[in-house]
Amino acid sequence: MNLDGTRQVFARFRDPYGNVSPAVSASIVLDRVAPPTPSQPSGTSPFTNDPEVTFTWSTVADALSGTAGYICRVGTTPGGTDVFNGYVGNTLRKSITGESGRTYYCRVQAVDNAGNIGGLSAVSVGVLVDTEPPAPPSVPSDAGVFITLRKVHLQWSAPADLGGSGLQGYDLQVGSAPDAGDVFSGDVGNSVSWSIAADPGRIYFGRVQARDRAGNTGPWSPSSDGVAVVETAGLTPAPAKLLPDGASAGISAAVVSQVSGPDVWMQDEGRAAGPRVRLIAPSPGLAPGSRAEARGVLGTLPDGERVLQGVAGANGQGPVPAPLGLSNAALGGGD
Amino acid sequence: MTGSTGTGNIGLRVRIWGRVTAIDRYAQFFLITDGSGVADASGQTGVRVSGPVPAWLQTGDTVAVTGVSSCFRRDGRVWRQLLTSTESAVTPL
Repeated sequence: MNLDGTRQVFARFRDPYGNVSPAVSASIVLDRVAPPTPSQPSGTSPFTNDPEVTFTWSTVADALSGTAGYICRVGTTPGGTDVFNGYVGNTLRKSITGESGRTYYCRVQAVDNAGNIGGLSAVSVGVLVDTEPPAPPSVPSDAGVFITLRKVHLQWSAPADLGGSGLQGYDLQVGSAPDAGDVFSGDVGNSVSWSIAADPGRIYFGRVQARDRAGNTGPWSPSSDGVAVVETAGLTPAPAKLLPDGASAGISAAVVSQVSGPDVWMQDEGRAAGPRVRLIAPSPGLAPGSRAEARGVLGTLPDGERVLQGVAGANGQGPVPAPLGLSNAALGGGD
Repeated sequence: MTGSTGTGNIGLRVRIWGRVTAIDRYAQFFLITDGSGVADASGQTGVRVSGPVPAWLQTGDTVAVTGVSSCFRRDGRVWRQLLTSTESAVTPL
């Protein structure tokens, strides 16, 4: 016989002398049935960069005495209780403060107003706390000193993600100067290379940053050393000097004769002068005697000297070219 | 090039020599003349050597200087100059 439910209880009281009181009654709820098992709790997402992890679950209805609250268990293993194990009242959420690199699981059970405890829910999907941003990717590499193709291809190596959530993708910036994003700036997905259309006469620099699946964004990589898209490549310094203003050129087989601030002078091995090279990005390896390449756009300085504005790089070292002895009147010549 | 002779050599590493006719340490240049009588934009005689001026350099010294052949524009004319990047580019003779 099922006695559970709302019942009327009657009582009469008798004293030691045999006197009996009139009957009194009260309504009670007799509940010996455990409340239903709650649904599987859920976290905000499988990964979070917020150390505060919140699990939520759905309410359960106890038909007899009603749901009084819930017992919650949170652990670092499925079903574990090493983080929290206790009554949380009649709420549908529990927050804990987690440590980066650890995964947290939750399960709950309902308690009714008669004190019956329901079954344990299924264990939630784990929530990994990852507050550590990924390391910077490697410096993007390009096709070399200069290219004649109308496409710049950059590639880099994936960095480590110490927090453990794993890499989700990369942000790439391509610009006409180091650390600039005036050509392209955006999400390139989880690819470790990217190509963009390029225009002759421009120099392209790239840098990249990684994002992990917890939403952390790492620092930018150093900027690449630049690649110039030129119309004419493989020139020695002297013929490059003869190109008109605005022409783009790549100079090869040049010998550095002097370096002063951002300005580098290059000449042929055969001692024919090239244009002054005005660097738009530092090239620490360049020194007198360096065998070098340069790329950029030709122009003329206000003082009349030809200049290649661009970037340069050393690919060897040799003797400084011997100076050509000149009289005072011959200095400059008829150029 | 004002009063120029010979083939163009701007941008070339060259060596010139002569007697120091003027020094402007503030503007970091000095003039030398080898007797050819070329003039500088300042109106003085000599070729302008632009770059670090050695502390030991005095007017009247005879020196050789190695640098890059260059030029500058002043009052609508183009003038010759030698660009140096270190004091060691200047050696006494």
